[in-house]
Amino acid sequence: MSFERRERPSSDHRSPDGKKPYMKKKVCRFCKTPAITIDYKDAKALRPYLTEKGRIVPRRISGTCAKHQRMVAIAIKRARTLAIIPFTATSI
Amino acid sequence: MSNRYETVCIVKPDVGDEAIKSIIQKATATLEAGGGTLGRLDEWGRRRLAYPIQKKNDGYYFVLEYNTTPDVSKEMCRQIKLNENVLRQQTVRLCEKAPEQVAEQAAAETAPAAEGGQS
Repeated sequence: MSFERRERPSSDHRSPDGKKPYMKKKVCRFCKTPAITIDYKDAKALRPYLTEKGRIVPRRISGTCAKHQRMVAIAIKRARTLAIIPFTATSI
Repeated sequence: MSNRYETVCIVKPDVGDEAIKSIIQKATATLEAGGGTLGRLDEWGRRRLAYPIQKKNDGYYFVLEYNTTPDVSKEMCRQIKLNENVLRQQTVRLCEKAPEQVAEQAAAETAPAAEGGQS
């Protein structure tokens, strides 16, 4: 009796021919234009960094660099405590 | 050593203008008694809250920006919090520099780098 060895799932980002799919490199918006400041009092400016449900958009999607993602996350959390932006999308 | 602080405060929407004014006045009085200086007072007015606080859906927002020492700032926050009409209060130390300072710093950073390149 032998167990057939399962094939390893191929690395999910790679296409079958083993090549990495072409992905445009995202550039951090705040690094690109240093004039933009991250302000917790500005709900509109934080909007692109929140999902519809009010969660923080991950770095891999928004393309923000680590330093600025930290600043964005802090700003979002501050805004939440002041009821400027919601913690969750409220039902009803 | 004095720092720059910013306090955002949410007051119940159903209290009168005088009550709100007295909260601001009390806060500035404690601030000035401790030797601080008020930089900016920004009243946003009535705003809808993102979620209800104490069963209130609206709040009266105002922002105080000031220079003072940590002890005075702490005391001022405590004074604000004592008032029952205050729904929320948040104080943040501002460390953002003025645009000129940023430019100066950038110049200072690039200068040594250029020197390093020459030697």
